[in-house]
Amino acid sequence: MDWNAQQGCDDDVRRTMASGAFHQALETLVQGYQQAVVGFCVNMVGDSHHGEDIAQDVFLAVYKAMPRFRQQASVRTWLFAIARRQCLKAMRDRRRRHRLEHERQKTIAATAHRNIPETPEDDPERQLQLVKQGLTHLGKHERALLLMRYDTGLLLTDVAHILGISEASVRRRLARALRHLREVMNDAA
Amino acid sequence: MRHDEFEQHERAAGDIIHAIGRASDDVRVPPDFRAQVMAKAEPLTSPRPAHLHWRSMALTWMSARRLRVAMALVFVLALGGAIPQYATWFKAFTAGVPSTTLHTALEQERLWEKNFTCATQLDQNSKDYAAIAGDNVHVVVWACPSGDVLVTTESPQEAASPRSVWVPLALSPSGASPWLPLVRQALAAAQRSPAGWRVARITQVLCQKWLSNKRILRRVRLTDGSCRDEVINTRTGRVVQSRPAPCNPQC
Repeated sequence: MDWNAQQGCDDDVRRTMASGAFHQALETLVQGYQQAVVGFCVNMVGDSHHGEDIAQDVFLAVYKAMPRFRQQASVRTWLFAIARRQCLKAMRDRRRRHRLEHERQKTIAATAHRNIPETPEDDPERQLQLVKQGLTHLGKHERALLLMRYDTGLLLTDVAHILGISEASVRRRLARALRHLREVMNDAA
Repeated sequence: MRHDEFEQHERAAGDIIHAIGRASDDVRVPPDFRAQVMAKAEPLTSPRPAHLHWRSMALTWMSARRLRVAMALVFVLALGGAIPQYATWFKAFTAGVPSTTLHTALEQERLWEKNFTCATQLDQNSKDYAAIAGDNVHVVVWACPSGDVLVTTESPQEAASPRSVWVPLALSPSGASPWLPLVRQALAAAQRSPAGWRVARITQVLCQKWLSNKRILRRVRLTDGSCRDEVINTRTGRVVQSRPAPCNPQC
C-alpha cells in the first residue's frame, strides 16, 4: 500500500472509530492492512498457516482495543504494536514452537539439498530467499525489529514508541540485528 | 548510536534491507481472509465503552518497561521494609503473646533464665525477702544478687492467677522502670476488691525446674504452712497452673 493510500485508510479508520462504528472500522482496517499484517506474521513465525491464524487474532485484538485507542500514535503504529505482541505471544507456546522449528529445519534441510541452478550472485530472488532463511535463525525480537522497520516500513520513531525505548536504542539494536543477519547469511552460504 | 553512524550501517546492509522490504511480497493472503475475520468478530461483545477505558489505561500505563521496573522496585522496597514487622508478628505468634508485648515478654523470659538459681532460693527468712500483706493485695519482693528483683502480686481478682514479674536492675532511659506499670495495675485491681480478703502468701521456694515452652514449675511454701506447685509462664509472669503439693523439695 502506498503512502497516500495508507494515510487515507488511517483517516477512515480514525473517523469511524471516533464515531463508535467499530465494526466498520475493523472492516476498513482489514481491507487496508491484511497483506502487510499477514506478511509480517508469516515472516515472524515462518509458517504460512500459523501466520494467517495469528494475523486473524491480531485484527480481533485490534477490534477489542478500539475504544482504548488514544490517537497518540498512528493507526499503523498501533496496529503493528499489537501484531508484534500477538506474534511473540504465539511464539511463546513451546510445543508449537518446537514443532515449527522442526518443520523449519526440515524445510531448510530440504532446501539445502535441492538442486539449485546456478544464478548470478546479485540475483534478487536468491538474495530474498537467503534473507528469509537468515531471519528464521535470528531471535524473535531481532526478527520483529527488522520486519517492523524494513518490511512494514515503520519509522524509527514509531518503532521506538512500540518498544518503549529511545530512537538511539532502536538504531543500535537495528545495527546489531543487521550485523547478526549478515553473519548468519554468510555462515549459511 | 548517532544518526550518521546508523546511516552508514544501513548503507552497508542495503542489499539485505532491500530484501527484507520484499519479504511479504510473496505471501499470499487467502481470498476469504477478511470474511473470516469479520465472521469471528461478529459474535464478540461490543468493545468496552470509552468511559471504562481508564481500567485499560492503567494496564497500558503499567505495560511500559521502565514503569514495570519502577513498580517492581517499589514493591521490593515495601516488602523488604516490612520484613522486621513480619518477624515480630511471627515471633509473637510462636511466643503466644500479642505483638505489642513481645519485647516485654522476651525480656521477662531472659530474666527468668538469668536469675533461675536465685529464684529457687526465695525464702522469707532472707534479708533479700520483703512482703506487703495488705487487705486487698499481697506483694512479695525477692531481690537477687544480680540486682534484678522478682515481684509477685496476688489480689482477689487475680487469686487464680497470680503474677510474678522481674524488675531488672537496668532502668529505661527515662529513669523509670518499665515494669512498674504492671505492678501498679495489680495494685489498682486489688483496691477494687472486697475488704477483708486474706490469702496465704509465698514464704519459700522449695524447688524449681524448667518445663517445655519456656515455663517454670516451682514448689512454694505458704504462710499457712501448706505448699503448692505452680507453673509459671515466664513470658507473661502468670501462674497458669496451681495445685496443692507435698512440702518436699522434689519437683
